[in-house]
Amino acid sequence: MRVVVIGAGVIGLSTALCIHERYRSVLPSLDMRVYADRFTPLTNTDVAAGLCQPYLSDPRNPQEADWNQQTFDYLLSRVHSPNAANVGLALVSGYNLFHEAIPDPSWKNTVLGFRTLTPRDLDMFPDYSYGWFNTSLIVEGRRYLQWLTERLTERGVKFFQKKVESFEERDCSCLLISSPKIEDASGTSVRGASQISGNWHLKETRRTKKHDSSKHSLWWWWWWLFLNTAKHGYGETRGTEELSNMHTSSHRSELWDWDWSPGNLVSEPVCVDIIHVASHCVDAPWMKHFIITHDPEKGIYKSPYIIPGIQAVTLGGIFQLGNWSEVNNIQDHNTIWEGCCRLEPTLQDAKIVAELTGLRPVRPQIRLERERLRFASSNTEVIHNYGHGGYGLTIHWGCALEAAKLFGKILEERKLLKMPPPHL
Amino acid sequence: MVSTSMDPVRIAVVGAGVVGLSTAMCVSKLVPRCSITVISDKFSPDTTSDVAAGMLIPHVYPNTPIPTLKQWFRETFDHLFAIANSAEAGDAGVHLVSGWQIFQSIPAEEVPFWADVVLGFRKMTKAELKKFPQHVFGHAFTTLKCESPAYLPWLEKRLKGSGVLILTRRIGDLWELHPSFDVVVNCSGLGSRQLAQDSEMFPMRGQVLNVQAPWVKHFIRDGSGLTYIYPGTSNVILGGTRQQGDWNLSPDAEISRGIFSRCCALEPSLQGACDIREKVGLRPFRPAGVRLQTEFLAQDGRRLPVVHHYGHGSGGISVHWGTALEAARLVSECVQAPRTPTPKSNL
Repeated sequence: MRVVVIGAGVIGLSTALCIHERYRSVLPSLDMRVYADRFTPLTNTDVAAGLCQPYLSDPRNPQEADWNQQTFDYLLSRVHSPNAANVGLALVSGYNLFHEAIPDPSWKNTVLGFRTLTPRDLDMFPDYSYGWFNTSLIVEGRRYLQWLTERLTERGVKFFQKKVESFEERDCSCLLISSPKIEDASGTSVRGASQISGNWHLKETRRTKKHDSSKHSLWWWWWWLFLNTAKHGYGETRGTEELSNMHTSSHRSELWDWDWSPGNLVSEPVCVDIIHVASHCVDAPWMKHFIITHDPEKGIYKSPYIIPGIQAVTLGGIFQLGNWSEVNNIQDHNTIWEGCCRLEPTLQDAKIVAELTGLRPVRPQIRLERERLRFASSNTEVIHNYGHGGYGLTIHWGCALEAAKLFGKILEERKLLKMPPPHL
Repeated sequence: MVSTSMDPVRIAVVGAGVVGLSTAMCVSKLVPRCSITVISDKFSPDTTSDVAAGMLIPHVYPNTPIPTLKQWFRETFDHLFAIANSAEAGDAGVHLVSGWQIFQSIPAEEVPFWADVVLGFRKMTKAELKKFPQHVFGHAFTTLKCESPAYLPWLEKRLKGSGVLILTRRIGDLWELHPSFDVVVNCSGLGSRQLAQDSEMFPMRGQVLNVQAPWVKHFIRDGSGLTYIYPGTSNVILGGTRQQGDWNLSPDAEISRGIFSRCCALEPSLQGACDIREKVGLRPFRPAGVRLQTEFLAQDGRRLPVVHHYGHGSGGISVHWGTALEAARLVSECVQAPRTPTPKSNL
């Protein structure tokens, strides 16, 4: 059975490993391949700061809370092992800072040692009046991807670098998609693909404005919301309903929220799921704590954060909805630097080692579900696992387990298993 | 020439470890119109302080009342906390670090006297203790690490900036400082065995490993104090030993293996550590605790006031600023006492 995984970031590789670990022994015919345009160190995962911390507000899909917990527990069990550093894992403690008191997050019992800040703690952060302290984990994206790649390679999984523009894989029984959008040649979404015979294409998607045509290859990594009202013939009602729900939710939750301003609801396709993130890597080895600030007035992610990694410290605080640029500008640089130095004056002496850009693939909730494509002579099962926004590392293993469950169901349906499926 | 009470008081500080340099600093701020010279045969990175990890977790001195000890610790913590939150933190080698102190059996005192001096002190949760299956109880808190290889040069630079002279010289007898100096501050640590004829002083040998393991962000200390993991700016220090009366400054390979093995038991990821370097320091141990006392040496009609400030054992860095302030007060009292004119000579 050939399984193709599209995408070699943390989602693609961890899902591949999770499935291979669970099913290879009961499915000897399992032939798994990973196709991707970019591999480590060029993926989005590689530039992530890597702190395991879910968003503050409860996820739209309550399952995501479980997936976050499962990921944390899984990584926690690995961080106590001798090869933790090889995997890219470390425990790290730190501070979440707010301008006013807010309720404890739903994940307060997932992380370790959660407590609110004392007045003496807050003396260190004069701009903030409330906060939390807890111990969490960092997963250094690059090392983790290397480790995942090694495990997959050991298992005989093959990797192919493909800038996939036109994908023909008739014999592929199962497609696992962690990144690109699937459209057929006419631009209809994959939901309509059952009516299309022949090959289906993985096609680059295009924004109507603010895109840079030289960045085509990048777009393989970004998922669109299936809400392009004008373009894809979805009922306008449905599109509007989706957007208005999200707009409401932006008022309901207080922090880490979506900035769905009314201007985005205008007739052009709503492509508000690309978030340009800029960060600096600095050499500041005395920084042993993460510090994340939250400012509902500035909007999501625009508030400074400092996250120590294994070798360097990531400074961030730039979030630009809809900006496809892979290049930082001088204003971004100043915003990050000034914001973080104000927060942590000791950084003034830190040397900048790298400037990074990432584009987070954002969706109101993760799409993690099956879909079946029927062609003339064969069926292809698709498992979607995309849209992890800024919390991919935080949630990846729970999603991988879920994707593996879906895979198991496919095998059961097709009566492919020689033995009962392994306990997940 | 005869010195008069209008001339600046000439103060010699013997010793350039954390105690000597911090005392010189406190004296320079407290005592007006004085000229200070720090005299030592060893400077950073060759002092005893340089081997210490510099974690601010105080030790108890038998003859020091707990309120005094707490005051010394608090003064030191506050002083370093201000540095840690300033732009000087990197240069001064002072930073915050969080972690755990763990016990294999529940300690008699579940909340130590210094709990409200450090930040965020609380008992460890069951979930946190899972990391340490051999341990049943623990403290979680945030404290400071004061790294002498950076802190001492930083202090020295500031001392020079305020006109303090620095002299490299081995002093065999405190009388060598007479009559060039009006007051001597003896911060010679283990050297006081000779310089102050304090036969109670003995070394408490400590061996440590400096390793590269930058993924370790938390300190871990076994409540006995014998096994610890202290992450710093440029390395992680693994320890340790407490060998009474052992003067041997050469590292022992067997001991190193033991330290590494004990630390890996607490933090398995240390097995990936590299660039392991062994270090030895002789803690200046005094059974009666820190000696903060003025002694008026007299010999053949000569008189030399000496403020003793030594005997900090395992806890020097944790209380250094508090005891330095006390020493500076003693110096100030000395200076204010009427002086007899003495002839000047060059040292």
